[in-house]
Amino acid sequence: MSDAEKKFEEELERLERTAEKKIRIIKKKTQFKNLFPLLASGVAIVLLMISMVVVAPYIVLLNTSPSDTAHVYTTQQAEGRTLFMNLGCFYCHSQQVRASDWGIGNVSQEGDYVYDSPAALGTERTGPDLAQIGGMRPTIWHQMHDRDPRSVSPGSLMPNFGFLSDEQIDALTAYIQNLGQENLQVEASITNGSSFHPAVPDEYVNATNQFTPMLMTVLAQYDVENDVYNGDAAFGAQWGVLFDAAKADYTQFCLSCHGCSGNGEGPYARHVATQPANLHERIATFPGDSYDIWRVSGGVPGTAMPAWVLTLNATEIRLLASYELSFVFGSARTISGDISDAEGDTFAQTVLNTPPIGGTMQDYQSGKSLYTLYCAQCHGNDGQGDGPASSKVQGGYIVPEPANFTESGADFMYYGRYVWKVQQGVETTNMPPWKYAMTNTEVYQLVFFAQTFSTADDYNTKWAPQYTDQYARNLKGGPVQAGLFTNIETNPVGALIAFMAILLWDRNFEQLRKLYQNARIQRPTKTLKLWMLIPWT
Amino acid sequence: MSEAEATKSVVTNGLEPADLKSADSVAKYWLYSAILWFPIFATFGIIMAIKFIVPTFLVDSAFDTFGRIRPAHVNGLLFGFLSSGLIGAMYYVAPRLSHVSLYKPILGKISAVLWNVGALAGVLLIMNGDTQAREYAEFPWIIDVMIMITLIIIGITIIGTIIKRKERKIYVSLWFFAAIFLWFPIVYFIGNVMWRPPTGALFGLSDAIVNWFYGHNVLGLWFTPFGLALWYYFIPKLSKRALYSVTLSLISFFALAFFYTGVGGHHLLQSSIPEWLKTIAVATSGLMMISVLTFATNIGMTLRGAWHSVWSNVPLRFIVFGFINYILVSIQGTFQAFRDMNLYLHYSQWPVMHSHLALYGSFAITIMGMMYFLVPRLSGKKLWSKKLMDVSWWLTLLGFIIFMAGMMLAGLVANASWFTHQTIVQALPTLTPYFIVRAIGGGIVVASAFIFAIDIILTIISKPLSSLEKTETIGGVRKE
Repeated sequence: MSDAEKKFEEELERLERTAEKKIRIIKKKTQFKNLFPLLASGVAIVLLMISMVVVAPYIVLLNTSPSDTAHVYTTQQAEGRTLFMNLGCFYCHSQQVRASDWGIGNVSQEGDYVYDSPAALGTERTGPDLAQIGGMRPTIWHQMHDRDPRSVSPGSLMPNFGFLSDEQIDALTAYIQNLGQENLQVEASITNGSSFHPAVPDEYVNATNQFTPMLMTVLAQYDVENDVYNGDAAFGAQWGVLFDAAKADYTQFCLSCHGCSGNGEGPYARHVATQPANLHERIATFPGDSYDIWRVSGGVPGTAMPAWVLTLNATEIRLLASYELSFVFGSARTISGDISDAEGDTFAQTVLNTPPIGGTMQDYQSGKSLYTLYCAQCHGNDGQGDGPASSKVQGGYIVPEPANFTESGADFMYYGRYVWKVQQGVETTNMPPWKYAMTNTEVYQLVFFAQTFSTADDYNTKWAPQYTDQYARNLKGGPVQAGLFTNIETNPVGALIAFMAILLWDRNFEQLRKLYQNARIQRPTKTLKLWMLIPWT
Repeated sequence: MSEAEATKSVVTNGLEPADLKSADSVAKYWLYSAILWFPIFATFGIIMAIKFIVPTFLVDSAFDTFGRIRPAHVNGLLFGFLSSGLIGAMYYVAPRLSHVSLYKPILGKISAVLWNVGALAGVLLIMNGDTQAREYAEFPWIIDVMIMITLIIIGITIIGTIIKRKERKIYVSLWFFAAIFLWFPIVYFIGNVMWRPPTGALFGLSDAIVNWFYGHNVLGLWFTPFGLALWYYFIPKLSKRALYSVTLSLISFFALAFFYTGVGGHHLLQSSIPEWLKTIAVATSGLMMISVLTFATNIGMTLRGAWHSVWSNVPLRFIVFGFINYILVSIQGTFQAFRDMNLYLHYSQWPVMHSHLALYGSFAITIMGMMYFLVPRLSGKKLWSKKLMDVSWWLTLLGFIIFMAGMMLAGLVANASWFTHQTIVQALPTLTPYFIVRAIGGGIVVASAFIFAIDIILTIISKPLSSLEKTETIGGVRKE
């Protein structure tokens, strides 16, 4: 054996020895001979996990505040709850509405269980979930059901609790009927005849509106007859800013259902199953600020009214609530209209003073639809400021009076000012800033339509020349004096001649009928007139 | 570790019978007291199954309504039968693995008496309405105190035995035995909110969280470690194979301690507990598979080449069937804990099936096997009837399958109905056929429990054997 081979053998032996040693060490390590480190680490990791899954959630949940439905139990309800637990009702009846459950109430929140010890979330549902059962059935039903479940619920598997005393059944029923208590209070207030309105839940019962005193101060110093505010100007300006902020929110969030005049006839109102509240009538009957704040914050269950607390903060909600009162008391003009006129003029001079739209028939039609949808309830179908909500008419309540478009007053001096007032609204009145509800083009179309309420002279001198399209230019006869074929609806001679001319010119009657109808609808244009005069061309 | 070495550490060579006499008498106290709990409180289960079909069955007074029978059934079997059986087997195993006599055997006997009196009193109190009304934690405060004291006493005897052991290497079963009595008193104290004696409950969702932390750890840090420890002992011993790997058992030990502790939140996945807690619960429920699969691999590899003994040896057959059910229920539990699965399966009879698969399928059946093995050894008598043992096996298997199928189908049908927005009142009548199947299966299971109990009791009161007979015929192991 050579030296190299010997060396190799030795090396191999050494390696094997090392490997064996290592294996021995591993074996020694894996065969525990010392109890303490094993137990200490075993207990330590259990305690670590306990701190994560028991102690940490306990601390997190310490600050849970009660939800709307949670409240301290009365003595009778507490007795009922003890019975509920002692009789093991919770083994079959859960008290936990899951997000996936259908038609048994709102999803349970941590605040629902604040007064429960022990909590009875339940693990199994042989019977229905009881989290919000209160008020869903009459009390007598529960009493019969507890004594003999199959007398009222034929397929029931519940045991008969006939062995309980009447007092015990009453306590149990009192507990069951308080679960998800909101419904119950409505019932109670109706049966007492005290009010149509349900009681305000605990969470909101002490809510106050800090803007109500401001509103009252402003109203006290406002002369409704003459639309003059006599109070402190700075205070008035401060109120004006708040009022307009509230109006902007109202336009964005409430107007689509409740309408710009608060009459519950907004554009979306016809699409919801439950009529939106008429804020003019309804708010006057509200039991107080707390009720209003609760309804706006919490929404109205069973209707399309959302819980605005998800969208708006407390200040915004209170501001909105005070804005709604303007549908009852009218709004006080604490800021002079001159300011918005000046702003409008600046807008006219710097941004826009001629119509960006041509003034076509389509513009006119869509302007008309928008006007009917949004404006007519205050400004009236004929633009005279005498819509059903206007204080001009009997039963109307919008103060100050909505603008009369037939007047050629100062508000309608410049095109830019017109647009400005529609887009930005008018300070401290109920005229909303329509920029939140309409696109610019829609505003231009609307303004175009509203302009047609003005007299023919006024229209032809002030507005018609600004439009490029012949439809707008000739809408009121145009700059040219009216002739034989203008206003053919009211001019039977002109109409007859026009009809005869069309008849002669083209024997396609169907087309002719259409043309004539169009002529009637559109009012005769200059083109049409010339064309009728020379039918042989 | 060589096979011979392992066998040596597992099998109880080198101990004088006198050394084990004291430990065996303690084991007898526990195991004998466990026997009657099983058939009696399993009967409570069949009463409930009948109530599901005939709702007017036994409704004349409060104590026999479903709401009282159910906690009595659960607590009677969990604390009366399963715990006693497992602790009894532990008293048999621990001194043998430590190669030493039991530390303070008198404490062991006292603990057996205390525990059984406590559990019986607790069940009677529950049936009388003195319940804390929290699932698995229904026992009133005074019973909780008794159980805590008992746990500490048992802990002293077991940890004392392990500390004064003569075999230096600590076999895996002993890790679990020692750790259980450090873990479970903590879990029991927190879970039963023992610092608030009148109600034994916190307020609101915290209470639900603590309740389910405890509810799941009755399984995770009490029955499961007992089960693992005993399977680690009995399966290698009865199949005469050395344990495959100590390292794997080490992994399963620590994975169990860490992950199993955190899973309780998966009972509340549909509630409004903090989302991060749900995530912890789902993640630990998934990671729990580490513990389960290492354990399953370890036992499976141990059993390789020895499966014939599973069939020829009836007690081992019970024990291995329990082991298989444990693997099944763990996999099932992990999948049930995932959010979507949970959303679908929650609230129906499926979770009831799941808990029966765990507590009956794995632990009760394992205990039946261990009792068939241990009682003849401890009493020094021949098993009264091997035929009855066979009958009880077949009834157990048959009843178990029908019983589980009934509950599983009832659960799935109910879940499917609810998922299509049928209300509970609409869905309930459609479940009656499955409830009938469950009652039939449950009836067979209860019959097997009675046969088991009769066989064991007759063994105990039968004539003692001569010493010659003893060496040849003891136990349920058939002589090859």
